Amino acid sequence: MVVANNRVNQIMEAIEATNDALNCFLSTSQPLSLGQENTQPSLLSGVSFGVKDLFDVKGEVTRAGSKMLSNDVPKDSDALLVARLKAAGPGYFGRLNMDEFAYGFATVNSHYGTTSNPHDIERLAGGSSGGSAAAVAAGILDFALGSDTNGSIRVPASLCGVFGLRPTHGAWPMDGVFPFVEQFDTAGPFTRSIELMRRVYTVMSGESVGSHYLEKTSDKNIKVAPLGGWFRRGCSPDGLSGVDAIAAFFGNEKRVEYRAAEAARSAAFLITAYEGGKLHLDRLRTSAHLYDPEVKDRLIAGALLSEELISHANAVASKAARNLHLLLDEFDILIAPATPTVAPKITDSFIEIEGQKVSARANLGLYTQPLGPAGVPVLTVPLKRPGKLPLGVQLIAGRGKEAILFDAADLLVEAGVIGSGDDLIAENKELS
Amino acid sequence: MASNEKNTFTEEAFVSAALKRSTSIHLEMDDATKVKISKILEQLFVHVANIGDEES
Repeated sequence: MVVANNRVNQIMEAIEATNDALNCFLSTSQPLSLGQENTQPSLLSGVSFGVKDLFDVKGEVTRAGSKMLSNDVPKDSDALLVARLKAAGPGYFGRLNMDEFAYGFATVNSHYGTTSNPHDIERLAGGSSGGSAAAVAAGILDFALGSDTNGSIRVPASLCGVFGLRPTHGAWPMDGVFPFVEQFDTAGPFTRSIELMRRVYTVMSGESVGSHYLEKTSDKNIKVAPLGGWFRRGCSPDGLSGVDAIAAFFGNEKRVEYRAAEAARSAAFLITAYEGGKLHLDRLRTSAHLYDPEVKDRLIAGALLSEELISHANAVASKAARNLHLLLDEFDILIAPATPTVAPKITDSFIEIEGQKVSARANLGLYTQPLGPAGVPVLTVPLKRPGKLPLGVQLIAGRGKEAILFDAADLLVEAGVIGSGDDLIAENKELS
Repeated sequence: MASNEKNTFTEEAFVSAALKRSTSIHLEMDDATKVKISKILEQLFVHVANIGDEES
């Protein structure tokens, strides 16, 4: 087990060497091994992972990126999804930075600092699962768990150049995951390869060796369509050409419209503010001073919205979801940009949307947020862009149809349309 | 919204109604906080207007 222990030591050294610059890890944990000593190798033996600070891990405090929970009692059991992963053999290395209580798209945290993008440490990693995305993009961890309510996996995956999966809402147990907005909350992995994404997905789904999720296909006959309208407005030319390249690869560049996208985003925005405010109301009454100031203000504003307004927002969200489901009855996969732009600078964290400067923290989810109400699985894939900052595209499928997303991504990697995270790390080394 | 809140509410009225709600939910705010919250509510009104255009 000398080799295995050497690998553990290498990862611990990599964390120590990079964390001052990247600020991905909030705490570390040193495993005895990466599970290679098991007599029957399991799907994730030899692999390293970490979790966003909102997953329960036995013996650790779940702070959800906050100070106010930092004195809580350590958990006496793992979140169910973490327990499934641990049973499959990987080594667990610690807790990863996030926007406080997952309310943001930037991983700018007034308590624990900002997570930097491994491709340019002067830029944001995106959020709210930015620590998880950055640790994988930097090559420190093989995979990491994040959560996605409105885009918190898909946005940092795009900005950091890794694969990030928002799975079908409700398909996996969320026990032991600190909630935000339960009707939109999902938990999912970041990886640098689809091969590992398939294995992690299989384990998180409670399946094992022999699962059809592990089988690759060479069948290119996947019916895709790029989304037009809302998903073209405000997007960078590079993002749009990435969407078009994927559509061209599958032989259909004719755009379709998810007409309710703007209303869906607005409904999700209001529901998130209200439900977040409601969840935190008791703490806001007694301990508002302990919150990240920006998060506190947004939660208070949400708590002041009326039930009547939110009831209407929910009706709009349901109608929008039906609109998207109808499109997904017609197409296997819809394609959309994941973020309007590459990672913004940390010191100037604004993005320009149709000529207007708006907060990156609130608006990087422009194209992810409208998809949440439908509860469909979405895989962010990194475009192949040698010498340029990463940018991702969303592949969207019908509920429960994650396998076709993996199949499409495999084909795109083989064709060189999208890159793997490992390609991007290699490019970064060449550039530096 | 049953009372068609969007069509009858201006941004100013929406912000004012929301701030008044702080009393009923026992959320005390100083004046400086009220100013900051008002700005966020103004941003949220854009979304209120968007969904107001949608029939439920």
